[in-house]
Amino acid sequence: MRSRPARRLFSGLLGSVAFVAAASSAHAQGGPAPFAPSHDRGANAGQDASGSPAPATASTGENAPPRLLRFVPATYPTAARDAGIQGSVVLQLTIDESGHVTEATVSEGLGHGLDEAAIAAARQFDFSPARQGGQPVRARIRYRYRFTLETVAASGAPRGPLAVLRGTVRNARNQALESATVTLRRADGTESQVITDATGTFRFELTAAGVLSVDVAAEGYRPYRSEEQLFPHDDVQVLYRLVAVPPPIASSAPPSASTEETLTVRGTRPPREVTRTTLERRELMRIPGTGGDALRAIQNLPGLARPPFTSGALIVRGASPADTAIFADGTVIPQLYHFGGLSSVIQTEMLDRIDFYPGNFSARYGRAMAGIVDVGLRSPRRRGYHAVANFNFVDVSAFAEGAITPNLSVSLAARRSVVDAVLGLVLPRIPGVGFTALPVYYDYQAVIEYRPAPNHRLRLAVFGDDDTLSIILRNPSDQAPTLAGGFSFATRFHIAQLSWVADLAPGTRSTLMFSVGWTNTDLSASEMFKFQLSSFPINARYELSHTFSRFLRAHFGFDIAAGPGTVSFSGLRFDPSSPVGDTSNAQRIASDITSFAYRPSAYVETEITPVPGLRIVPGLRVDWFREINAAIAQPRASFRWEIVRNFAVRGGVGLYAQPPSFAQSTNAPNTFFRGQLVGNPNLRPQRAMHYAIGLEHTFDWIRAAPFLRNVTLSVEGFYKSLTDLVVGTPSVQLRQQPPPPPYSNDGTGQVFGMEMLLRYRADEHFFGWVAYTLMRSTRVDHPGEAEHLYSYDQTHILTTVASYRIGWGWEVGLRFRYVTGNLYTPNIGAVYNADTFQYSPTPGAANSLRVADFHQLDLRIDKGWRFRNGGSFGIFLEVLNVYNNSNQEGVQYNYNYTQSQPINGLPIYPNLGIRGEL
Amino acid sequence: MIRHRTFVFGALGAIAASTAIGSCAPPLEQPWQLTDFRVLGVTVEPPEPSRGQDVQATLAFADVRNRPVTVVWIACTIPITGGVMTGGGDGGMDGGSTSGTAGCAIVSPPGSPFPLPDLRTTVTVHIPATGGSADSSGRETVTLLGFACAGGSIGLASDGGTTPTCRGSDARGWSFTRSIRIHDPRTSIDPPNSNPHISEVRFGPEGTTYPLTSDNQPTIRVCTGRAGSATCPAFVFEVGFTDGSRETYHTADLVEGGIITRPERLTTGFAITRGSLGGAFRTDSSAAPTSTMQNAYYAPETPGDIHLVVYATDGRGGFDATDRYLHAQ
Repeated sequence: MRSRPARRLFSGLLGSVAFVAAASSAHAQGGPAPFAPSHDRGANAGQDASGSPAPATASTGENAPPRLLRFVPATYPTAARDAGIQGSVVLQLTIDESGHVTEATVSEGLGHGLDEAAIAAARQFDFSPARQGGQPVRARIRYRYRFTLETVAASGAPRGPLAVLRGTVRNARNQALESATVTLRRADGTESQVITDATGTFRFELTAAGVLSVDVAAEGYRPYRSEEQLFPHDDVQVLYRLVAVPPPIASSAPPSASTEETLTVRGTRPPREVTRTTLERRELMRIPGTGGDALRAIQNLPGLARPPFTSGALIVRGASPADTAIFADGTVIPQLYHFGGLSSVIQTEMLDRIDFYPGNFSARYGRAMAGIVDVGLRSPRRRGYHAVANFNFVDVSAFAEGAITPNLSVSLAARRSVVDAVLGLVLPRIPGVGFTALPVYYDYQAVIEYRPAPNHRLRLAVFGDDDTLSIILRNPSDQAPTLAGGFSFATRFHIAQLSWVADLAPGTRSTLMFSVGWTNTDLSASEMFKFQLSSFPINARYELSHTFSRFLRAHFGFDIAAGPGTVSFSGLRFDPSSPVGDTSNAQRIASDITSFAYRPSAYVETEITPVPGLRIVPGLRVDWFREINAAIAQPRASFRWEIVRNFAVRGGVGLYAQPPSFAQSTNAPNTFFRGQLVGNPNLRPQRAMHYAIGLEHTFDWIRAAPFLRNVTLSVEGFYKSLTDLVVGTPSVQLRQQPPPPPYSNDGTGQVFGMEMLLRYRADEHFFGWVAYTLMRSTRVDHPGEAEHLYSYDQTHILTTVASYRIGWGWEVGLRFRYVTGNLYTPNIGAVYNADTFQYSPTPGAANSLRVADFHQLDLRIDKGWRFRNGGSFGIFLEVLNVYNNSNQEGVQYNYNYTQSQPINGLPIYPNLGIRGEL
Repeated sequence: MIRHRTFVFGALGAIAASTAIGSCAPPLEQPWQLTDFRVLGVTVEPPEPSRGQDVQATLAFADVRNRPVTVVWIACTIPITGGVMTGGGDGGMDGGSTSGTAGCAIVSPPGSPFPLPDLRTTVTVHIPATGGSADSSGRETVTLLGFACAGGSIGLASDGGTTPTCRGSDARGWSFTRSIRIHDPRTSIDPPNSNPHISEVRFGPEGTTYPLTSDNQPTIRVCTGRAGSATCPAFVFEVGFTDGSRETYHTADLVEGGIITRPERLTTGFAITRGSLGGAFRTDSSAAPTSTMQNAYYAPETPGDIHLVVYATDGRGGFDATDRYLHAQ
């Protein structure tokens, strides 16, 4: 007896032989007959002579037309097929009060037995009856049954389908939905429609590949639309999950229609992967402590460490936040979150997908050696309009989208903080608070999308962010008496992005992206100094994907990151013998360093599918970094093997390179230390070798415990070897003559650990997961030195999320987090500088102590109302740190480092928000 | 509407509480609080010597318990920053090393071993005729390293290293650094710098201050209320300098180029054993380059002696320090 994988292998080989020979029909491949009976939805969309609406039209109110529940394919008469006859048979169907077809007559026939075949099939259809005043009534409709011969090879010999799209339609409880209508719209505008069977499955056999629009509808459920890209010889299996329509009359329904939509979030997505790990938008927006911000939800996934309080940094698998790159549709953006991680820089409503790769990412990504976050902006809806408004004590936001013409649509979003107004009222009245901090931020996104043809998409996206934090000291600092007045820190970016996606031919897709932007970091402190970093980043990316055979698909691409940048510094060069903070003898200096970054790269990546279920993705990326005149080739490979249904193994190995920062590599002279450069232009790229192996399992095979059908488990082990890390030269060595370069590639390190995600997929009431990471991250700064824990090492990271929909519009969620305390380097003494009246701390062993472990419980309560016109209103209350734990975030010392005390994070903290939607 | 407003105010209160959480913890010791042994600075006379000249370096310190103080010194021709001789903590050193002294040429007296067998608070330093090192601004300097011990004896750490330690059950030690700038007439058109001199320390209610001297140690009423309230008397300290304390010197204008003439701007440090000061430092500002250093003071809540120390620098190596006493009842 052959094992199941072996059978798949055997079957796949047979199939491939059949394809290569191109001499067999679909029957030879074990598939169905080489045609796809369908009905023309376009014809049905009209009304028949009696005025009855078409069967596929959605019901409205208490009057509703009949709706097709069960479709039965007609038998294609052999004579008609042999004669190459295809076309539509238009039928008149009479449907009784129970939904049965009582009469079927031909209005427009094709002959050759096709009329009879259509009638025979239509008599077996089941409909939901037409309703008038809520009561079922007898109705007569016009139905177009289309016969299409889809598999005529160019040579004239029939062959099997070019590609197959198949899948299952389920509800939130993971129950199969029978009689769901799946409509497939091809790039040429033609449509096919099938009805799911008792197991909720459907299948399309296609003669042309490309981008397909899929609409899924089932009575009692919200319609769902998806876009699938199929290449020749693809056999793509998808899962569509529909969410039940709540009761139509107000007050006890879920708070928002859009909360039921799906937003794809792929955690550790296998490269070029067709199976999706999807978090419903409800999950993303209801995680306690995230304020309904989808991008903050990824902080609850395995692989991400808890950032220090107010940092908002992305700490991926024990790496520095600077080692993780953030993209918005392929363009690098400087940051993902506003100040302190309060909210993200892109609104949830604008998101189409969030790809998070904690390691072993595709060759299409580069210049980062830790992780990737790639955020995709959603296409504006092409019918109707949609608007959302949000308000809470942190910020206020609005979103709107709509179609201008059938081919032109637009979406707009904007957000502005209000926390500055709240703090501005509160802080001046608090005794003991010696400063007034006013964080102000806003962000915006706009997308204009034009589809000149079904297989072309042209898009202009503009997005940006502005964060400004001003601190106003009420009194001079004791440590620095001249430090008084205003201090400000600002970061901002504005980016315009043009992209064009075209399906040039079956199996060939071209994607072009070009963006220009302006980024700015501005830091000023009273009269002391002003620092400004400005750049005009230019990003260009092109990728050509082509399918050569069912075994091989390849992607060729290049991307360029370039643009001028300027670092401006004006400030005081302090007299080293002056007291601390004394600027009286300091000299004002100014410095401008301008450079032009140019970092081109090229990559090739192939997807090899030797047997169904196994996909191997080798790739090669070559980067060149102009500032250090270094090129590096990075071979990478990953695989995913679905050994049996619901059990898959995945893994990867690859080299990842990252250039040194601008400051580390510039050859500009050091204004402060004569004879030295600011950086070292002779540095090499930093390198990381990623190794990972993991498994995925779904428990839906356990029949005795139905609730387990929604449970999935994924476990992954990883190891990273870091070499050529850029480290600073010890200050003692810098005083040698001639001084050595201020930076070197002496650093090494390693990171290893395990990540686990046990998840209960959202059903009508409950969703939740347990994410756990066990990790160790170490570094050796210079050869011969002792290994020490890296600053971002967190041994245990546990996040549990649970949310339950009670009913009547109420939903309650909890999030509990336990994280090993952050490392810090203790100060074990100090030396008094009698020239400056300042104490210089004496650090102890690097990262030798930890602050207390972090643990916190967050609560979220939602209440929503829906209205007859489709609008909704929701209100939520979040309570962070419910049991008011004093979570230590750091250690502060007194002026001479003889005393210390913990710095604690937020105590119990409520946040109230409201949301309205049209 | 009422419920909504109630919630808003409740949330604002929570935000306020969260923001103020730092103030709930016991405050850390402030730099104006004199609670133990403290090194204030080093008076070097002359403050800007020429090559081959001997200078006297005198430690200025304050100790609330008047313990005997001993000091070990080392002078180096390379700039030394923190981390060389670490100190702090009761009874001795908490760690650190002298690794930073590698390459540190001992210049006074020539050939002396480390640590110098001179345990006095004043030491003579010989400025070498050649050698020396430029600091970050290009001036040649000799760096003094010292370790001062109050109430104990100085030795080396028990771990066998070269780290000095302050031994004794009630001992306290501090490491310190001090740079001595070398005057070179070939590169400086200014005369050698001189030390500033504190001419007087005045005290009293603002606008009606009077000189504090060793003969005039006023008695003030204790504070029985919150600082700033009518029951908590408010005073000021004012520090004056002799006329020659603020010298004029030439320096390069790095922005506009050329040479500019600038007056010295003094910075004064304050520390007091009881009561509370408005701050630890005051400095000449560009708006008032020769201002009297004024610092607010609130009386202590309990009666007793009050010890004030004042120390100042001109930012070019000049230093002076003095102290005064008051009483509260």
